[in-house]
Amino acid sequence: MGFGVMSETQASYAGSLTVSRTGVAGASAAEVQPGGGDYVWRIVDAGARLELCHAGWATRPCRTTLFDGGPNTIAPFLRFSTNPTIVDPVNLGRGQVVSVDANGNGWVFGGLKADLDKFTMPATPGSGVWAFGGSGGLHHCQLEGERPNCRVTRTATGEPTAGVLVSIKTYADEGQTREGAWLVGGTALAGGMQHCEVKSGGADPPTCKAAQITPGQPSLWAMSLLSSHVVADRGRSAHVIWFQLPGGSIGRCQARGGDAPVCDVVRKD
Amino acid sequence: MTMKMVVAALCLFAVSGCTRIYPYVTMSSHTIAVGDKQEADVLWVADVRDDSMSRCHNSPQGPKCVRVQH
Repeated sequence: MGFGVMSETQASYAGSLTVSRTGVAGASAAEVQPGGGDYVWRIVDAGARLELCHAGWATRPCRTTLFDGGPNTIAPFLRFSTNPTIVDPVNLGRGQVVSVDANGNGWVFGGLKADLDKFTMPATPGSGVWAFGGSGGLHHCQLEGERPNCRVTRTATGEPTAGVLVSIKTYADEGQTREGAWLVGGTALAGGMQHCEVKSGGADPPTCKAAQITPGQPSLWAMSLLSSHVVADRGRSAHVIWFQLPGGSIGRCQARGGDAPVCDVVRKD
Repeated sequence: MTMKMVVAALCLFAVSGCTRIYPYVTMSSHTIAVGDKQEADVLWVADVRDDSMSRCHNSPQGPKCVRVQH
């Protein structure tokens, strides 16, 4: 459970570097769920609304997703982005990776789609998507009861989080399905790493923890992803990423269950 | 003069446009079983600066990369 591919392309133009990261994540359910897979997330109204559609909802097959109980208030930025923007599916779809700036505005890094109105992706009950929207910030969205809802990510102390998303995985941990996301940078933790996690199908909002970083380690803001994995560890699962920094340092971050996530760079022998 | 400027501009573009600031390229990454319900993650990377290859893994002392000898 919890496989995925993360690709990245780099292009320089007129002295500026553009990094595009594209994620593909997947999850395989341990058991077959009735109606599983017969759901789809879509962005409508020129990017102003996020909907979850299900064929079994005969009278009203598509329902508007709420962001923290309210409507999405970020206006779409038509030429480059939509808000909400589906960041990455958890179930066999494709998404765009975006970042948020210091004001909480979402910006697409790459992988623009020509027709955002028809951008859809499959999903299954109990597993959600990650999206930027609401009043800003990264949200985790899933079906709750009969209503799709997005909950904003926060730190353990309730602070909002932001940053560039670098990896998303779904994994089993102590008998529960969890969805995790690694972010770099952000308003709360400039230049550092944080890992957000949520229990699939649960009512608790996703919480983010800052990674412990070795003293003297350079800022990871300019990190470039090399790979990401879910690693089994005696019944638990770790969300692992490998990255490189400009100049040639390689590093590794790991988030496992309730442990504090850690990042470390390879030391020169 | 104009030709020299064009050549200089082309050279500058060639240098700045082609310089890689990230020297590593992922060749392969996967997990391997190392025990009962226990895995380890492995990363193979190529260094485009000298065409070398390294294998990276996690160790008790932290992540480690070992250069593959030719």
